[in-house]
Amino acid sequence: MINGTVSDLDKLVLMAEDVSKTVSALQTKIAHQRAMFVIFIAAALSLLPFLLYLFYMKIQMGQSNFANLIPRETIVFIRILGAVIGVFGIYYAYNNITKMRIYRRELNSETEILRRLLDMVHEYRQYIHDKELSYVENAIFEMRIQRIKFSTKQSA
Amino acid sequence: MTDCDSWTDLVPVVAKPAIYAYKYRKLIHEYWKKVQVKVGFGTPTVIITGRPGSGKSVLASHYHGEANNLDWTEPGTSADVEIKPIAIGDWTKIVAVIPGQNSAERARALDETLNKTSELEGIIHVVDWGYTAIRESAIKRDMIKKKGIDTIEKIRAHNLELELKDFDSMLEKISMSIANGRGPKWLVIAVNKVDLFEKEIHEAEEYYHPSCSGVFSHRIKSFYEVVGSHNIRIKCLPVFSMPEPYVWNADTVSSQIDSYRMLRNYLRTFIDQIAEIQNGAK
Repeated sequence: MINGTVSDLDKLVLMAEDVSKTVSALQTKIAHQRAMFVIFIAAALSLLPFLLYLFYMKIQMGQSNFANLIPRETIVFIRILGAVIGVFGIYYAYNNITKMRIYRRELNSETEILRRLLDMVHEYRQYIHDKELSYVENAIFEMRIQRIKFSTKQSA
Repeated sequence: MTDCDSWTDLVPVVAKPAIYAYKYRKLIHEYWKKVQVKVGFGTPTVIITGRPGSGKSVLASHYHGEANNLDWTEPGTSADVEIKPIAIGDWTKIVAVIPGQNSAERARALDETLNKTSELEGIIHVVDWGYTAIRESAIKRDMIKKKGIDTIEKIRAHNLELELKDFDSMLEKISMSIANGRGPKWLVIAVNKVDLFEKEIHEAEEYYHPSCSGVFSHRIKSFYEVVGSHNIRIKCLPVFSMPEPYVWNADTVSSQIDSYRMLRNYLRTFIDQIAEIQNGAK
């Protein structure tokens, strides 16, 4: 593949392959982040009533039968642990949302490029260089293009 | 009142749901198809194929009804297969618009509809007599400057050549599918963008119509020899979905139809004829 138009087409196809892979990788990352976030929310919601109970448990031991059974140090430890988990949870949620936002922004720009490449690759191949390729070269390009996932749908 | 009287009163009540279900069966069917499309469940029974830029998505949007919404914008390049519920005659069909560009999505969609299911009833293959839209401006510039394709006649000739290749490839896929005991019962060649060449419509008809002596006719005759004319009905119908001028370099071909009534007529006649073919093919 030595002549100019073929080399340009090769560059376009290579770029499309690359961008398509990036889009898939970003979609996977977003799906992963979303799944982790859902697990985190589910865990937080299931732990919340217990943590709230411990956190607001009255200091006066005499007023709660349950509290009487637990040493004061343990309650303090559980409260500190709860607070640490809470702070970590907030940090994790913030981090997760920020990452998702970054991934989405990257995905939008890559999707736009991929859409433009979809037009460029096909129009270039059909209109610019069509007759300059041998049958084998043409078939190779066909197969390479057919492998590229231009769809931006997650499920596709 | 005897016991028997109370029974006769009850009969209509019991039968009412069944009567209503029968009366509104088409509406129920329509909503069922819409639900199927919404949840991504259900196999397309009609597919729309054709080259990129021939106007498949716009045509489907008009029949789906979304083109009538105020916020509808003309779709650009379709990277994904678009699945839409569209009323063809009395019944709603699940229609898949297959991207024109050779891609993983197109290959998969064609394979699934032609080779993995027997539910495909028909194919609408969209052609446009060479007035295919070229979307990428860099390509347009290269074609004009490097390839010397600087007039509408030259670009049309090039497009017609590619259109024929695409049609050949489609016929090959259909014949393979029919050979495997599947495949569509009908194929409609939708001659789109007829507003650009309405005055020369007979020339276009001569070029595409199966019973004329044009290039498409030869291809169809050879195709019939392979698959047998009783296995598939082929018809050619004119249509247009959006009056729009075709611009190339410094040349412009304006739309020859500016009446909304004509647009509606073309769209209605087209879908009515497809319904007729659909009913005849059963």
